[in-house]
Amino acid sequence: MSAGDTAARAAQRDDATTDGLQRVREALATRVLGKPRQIDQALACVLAEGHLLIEDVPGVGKTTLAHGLAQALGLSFSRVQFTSDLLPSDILGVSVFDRNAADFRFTPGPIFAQMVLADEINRASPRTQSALLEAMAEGQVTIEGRTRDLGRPFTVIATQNPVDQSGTFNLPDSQLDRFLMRITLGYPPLGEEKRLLAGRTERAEPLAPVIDAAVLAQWQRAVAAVTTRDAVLDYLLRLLRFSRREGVFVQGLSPRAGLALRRAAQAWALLSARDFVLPEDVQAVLPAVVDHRLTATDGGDRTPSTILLEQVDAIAG
Amino acid sequence: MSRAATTASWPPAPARGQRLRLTGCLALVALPHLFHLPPWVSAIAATLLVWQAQAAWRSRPLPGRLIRFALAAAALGSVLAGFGRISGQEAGVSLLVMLLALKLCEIRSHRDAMVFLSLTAFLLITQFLFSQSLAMAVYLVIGTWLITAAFIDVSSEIAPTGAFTHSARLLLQALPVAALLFVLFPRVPGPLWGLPSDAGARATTGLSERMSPGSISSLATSDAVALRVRFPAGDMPPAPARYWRGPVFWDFDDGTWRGSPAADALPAADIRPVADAIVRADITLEATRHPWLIALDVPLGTDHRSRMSPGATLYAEDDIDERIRYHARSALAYRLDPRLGAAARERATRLPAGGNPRARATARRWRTQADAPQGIVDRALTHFREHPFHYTLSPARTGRDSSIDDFLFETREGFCEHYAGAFTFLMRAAGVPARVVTGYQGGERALVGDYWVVRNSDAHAWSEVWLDGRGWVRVDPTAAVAPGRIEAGVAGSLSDSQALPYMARADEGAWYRMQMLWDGVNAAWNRWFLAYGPQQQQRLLERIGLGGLRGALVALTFGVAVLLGLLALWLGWRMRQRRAADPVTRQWQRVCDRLAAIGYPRARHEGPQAYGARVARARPDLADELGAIVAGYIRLCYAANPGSADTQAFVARAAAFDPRRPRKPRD
Repeated sequence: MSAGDTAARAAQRDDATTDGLQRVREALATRVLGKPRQIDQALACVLAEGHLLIEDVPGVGKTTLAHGLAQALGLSFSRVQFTSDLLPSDILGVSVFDRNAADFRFTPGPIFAQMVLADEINRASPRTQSALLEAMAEGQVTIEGRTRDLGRPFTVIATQNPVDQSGTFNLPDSQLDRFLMRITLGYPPLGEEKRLLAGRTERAEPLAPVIDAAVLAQWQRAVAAVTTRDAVLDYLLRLLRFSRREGVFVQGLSPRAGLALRRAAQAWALLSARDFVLPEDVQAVLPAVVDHRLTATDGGDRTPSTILLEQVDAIAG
Repeated sequence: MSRAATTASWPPAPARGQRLRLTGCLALVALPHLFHLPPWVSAIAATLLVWQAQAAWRSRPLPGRLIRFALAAAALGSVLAGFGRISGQEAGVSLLVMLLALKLCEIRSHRDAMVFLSLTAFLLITQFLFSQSLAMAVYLVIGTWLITAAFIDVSSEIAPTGAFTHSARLLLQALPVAALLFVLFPRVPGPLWGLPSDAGARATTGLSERMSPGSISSLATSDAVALRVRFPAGDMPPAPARYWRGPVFWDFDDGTWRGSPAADALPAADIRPVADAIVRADITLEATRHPWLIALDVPLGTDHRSRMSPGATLYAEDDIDERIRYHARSALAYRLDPRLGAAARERATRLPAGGNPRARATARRWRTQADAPQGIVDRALTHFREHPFHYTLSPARTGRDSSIDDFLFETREGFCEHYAGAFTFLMRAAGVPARVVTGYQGGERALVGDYWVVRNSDAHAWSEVWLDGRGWVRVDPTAAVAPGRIEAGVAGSLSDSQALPYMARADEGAWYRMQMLWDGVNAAWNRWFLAYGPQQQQRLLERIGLGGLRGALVALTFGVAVLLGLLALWLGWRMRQRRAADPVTRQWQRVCDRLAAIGYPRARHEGPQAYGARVARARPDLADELGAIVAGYIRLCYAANPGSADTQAFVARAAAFDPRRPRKPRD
């Protein structure tokens, strides 16, 4: 009896998760028009506890997506506009001398938020970039000898202009690897853009939070619990091994990339209201997860994820 | 639900690296062929290969079906036009090379690559049709190694360097089995590598069925090995006795000496050897495309099946189309045909009705002056010795009808065939039975190994006259002019050695020694590997004490080979079985196979859900049934904790699935 009870409760909780996710999606869809796939990808990235890089030309809604995500998920949000003269302390925070207390008092920087939007990250100097990226990797920052925890959830959404724009410092490959996903938004479809133009010109109301940080943490735990059977692990292995074959890519996927791919696929499965991963989940997140980590040697038109997709058998046998 | 990003074109070209490696593999295997195939074939094949390599390098897409078909048709057409057929050694190999180069255009799947590599391996073997030298064998071993590595490369995810090591290990593992099979596997008599259709088409060097001015001096410029000799007991006879008997020419006409088939009408030579002058020799004869077996003059018999001709030459039953080994007995002192039959005497004195009047007149004069045939012989030799005759490789040209007269009285320059031909003519004109014998004279000891080498440059012609009471007696008029020819070889008697091949020259430089060393290695290769036939197998088995068991042993080996083959088949079958031993996988594969049969194969990148959805879209009538099967499969393979009831339900459903069965149209 009790076993059945547990199962029923689990099913109920799953339904609640699915509903919650659906409502977050719908809320976001009112802000970012005509981009359901990108919304899903961004959501999957947050659910997978990863950091997101959005790469696109200015003005297509990168900031809107990041902001909306923080609002809908009920997360504290801060935004850093990266410029070439931005210093690490501008992000991390500084200790200032408090006359009254006769002591140094730490003023936390914008990094101390649950969701940080690092706008135009490639405009900052490499030194500042790396301060942010360290924080992303460690989940904590060390300022003046003291290590401070950033808390959870902690997600960085960085936006980047296409690399050929002037006045930019490209992120090195090692740092790109720290972003779980890289997505592009692109221009909205015709009908959606018309709706956008016809809409009200003043700034939209902030989104009402759909959930809060506690629920998000619960969802993130649910992602980690999504079943990944051997059939999928073997597929992931085949993808990784293929990416490391000589002559296909400049450099193969790292084990970290493999873990990222698995976690992203788990998140995608949860978004698809499933408690197990299918090869199709892996394929769905493949472009966002691997395209910024791989460079094809042949310099052809096909993206790295396309090459992987075509060459690797989805089902062993 | 997830949406797989499967917008890419299908099927794609293989990865660039693999495409390049496959192209390189073929280029390497085809390379030796390009040197001996007709130039136009080599040019086409080389162009195709360069084109493929370039396409692979630039990752160009594979050409469409129409272009491929047109190219294949063009290749077929060009071979048909060039050779008049598509089978046979050269035409077949040409076609194979070209089509394989085109096959690179349509390698998409793993299976394509396997087929391509298997054919490349076959192409590799065809090299043996053209050359069986040691160098080629080494090349083929390297080729086998590379092809095996390529097989590994296309079949697994091992990096190419790993593939090379792995391939080498596999070949080393196969070595003992190969050696055992080589020694014990039943040997077939006859050429393994010669294709009869082209056997005569290849240019051969060596003695021929006729002799005209220039035919032997052209051989003198070839240092190809004609035969190798070992003397199991004793040693090579002294230089003056090193005459190797080849075809004998009875008939003279039109300036040419021939051994016409009519000579067969004469009785076989009657040889009476002097008892203690018998020499035994193990001879390895290069392919001649003629039936005669060369042996020391005069041959008595061989262990090869042969018969004695009227001219005392040994003839095998068939042309020697591959290198053979035989054991020959010869008599250095002998009496040959002590009694000459009337027919033979008539043949040996016959001359054409007219031509060469001065020679005839001279011979008649000698006859009246001499009291016995021996005197005529001596008189003729004196003539050669006393007049300013020159032994040269490049004699002045003589008229065809008056070749003997011109040579004897005008140019006085010639090679052995001039001397032998003119001398025999003079003897016949003087009424002395005479004939021309061709063969080899001389030979040199190998630097390594206990054997002797006789080269084409040792080719020689001499005369035999029949003297009452003595039979046929060898007379070498060349010796009268250039005694050094007999003692020291061609180089010892020619002043203009520039035309001689390197190996026939007298000096012994380092290069010469290297060549001799290489010849020694080659001789060992020939002796131990290429000439290993049924007789050698028998001898070897006898030596290791298994002679009586040859039949049983051979049968055993054959049986074991068959058994090994069956074992390999069984292992392969079992592996397949084991792979699909899991009933879920087996049934899923069955469903995929059945869908493939009706035109919906699963693309390799398609997961079960995407595949099922695609087929369901195309065949709505199958959607429900297929949906249940796919859902079941997904549950069993991907979901947590599937129950055994799920397995049974899926297996039953999948086993019953038959997309060909007619269905009610959906409402």
